[in-house]
Amino acid sequence: MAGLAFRNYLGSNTNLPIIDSDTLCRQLSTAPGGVGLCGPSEDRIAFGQRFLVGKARRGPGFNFDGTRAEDMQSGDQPPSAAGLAKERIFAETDSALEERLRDLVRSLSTGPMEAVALRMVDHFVGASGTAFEDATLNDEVRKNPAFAEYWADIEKHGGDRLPFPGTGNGFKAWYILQHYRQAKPFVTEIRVSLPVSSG
Amino acid sequence: MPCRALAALLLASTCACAAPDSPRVELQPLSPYVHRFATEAGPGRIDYYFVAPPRRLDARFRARLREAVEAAASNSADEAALRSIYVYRARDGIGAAFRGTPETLRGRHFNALLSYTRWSGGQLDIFYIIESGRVVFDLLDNTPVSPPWEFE
Repeated sequence: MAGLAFRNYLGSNTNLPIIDSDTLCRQLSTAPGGVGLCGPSEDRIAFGQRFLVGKARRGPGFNFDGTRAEDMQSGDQPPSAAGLAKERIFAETDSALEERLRDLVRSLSTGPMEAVALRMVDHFVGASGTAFEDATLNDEVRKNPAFAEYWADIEKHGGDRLPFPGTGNGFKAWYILQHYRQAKPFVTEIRVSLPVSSG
Repeated sequence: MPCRALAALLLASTCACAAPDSPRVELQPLSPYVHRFATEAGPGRIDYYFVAPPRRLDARFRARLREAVEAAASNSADEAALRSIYVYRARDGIGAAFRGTPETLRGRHFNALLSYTRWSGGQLDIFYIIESGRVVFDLLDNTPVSPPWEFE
């Protein structure tokens, strides 16, 4: 942020920091006719333009060292999981495994977030590998009091973590679908608008 | 007790308590030694080393570890866009005889990891001290990490 200063236009104060799905960057873009963000040149940033204000130390889907994160690999049939192939669940059909995974997410979520989790399962088994974004999820995150702490954590550690607790065959089904069948993991993108004070 | 005798006793006590100069941290190459790969930003490189397990992760040790890691990086000049050095604690399974893979180190031996250092575009941007698989100290900020978080 060195060399940058916020400037209000028309009395508005609605710059929009977002988390970008591809870079996990915190970026700013200006609202229509609202806040301008000026550099030393006094050039005004036009609506829709984005620029980097911060970047996580680890890219989404990658380790710090730039290698692909294990939990983002798919169809790789890891030798370390060979024991799983001896279990009965391994022989189940894709649809049976998918239903186990849906049961798992139903057991871990409720209300609007259950619907989000089920849409995530659909996205996973759809195997596009593209980022997942959901308006309900954005809203739930924005409303959660923990978000302020989360945001502070992003500034400190990169914030690229979404823990999913749980046990049992649901997780085995998830693992088999991802590493031995066609399902593909994805990055979850969350957008939250935050006011930025001028200074 | 005469003052001179007291002074001599104090001096002797001071000498007895002074820690001997701790030895340099010696990095020894750990197979698979060097791992090269492609990243979106350009070539990536990882070097693996091991050291005798430190008795303490105090400031003196940290300074000497940093000195050793930076020397190792400068001894093997590389144009990698992303350069990393992992240092592991020697233990059963981690030593000169180790012939594993990066996956073995990351998996089975994750809690033997002592430090992780990274240069992005030639700039040192990460230097973590790691204990039991958790980041406990940020050497670039020179501050303990609280609470420690799992290094993945």
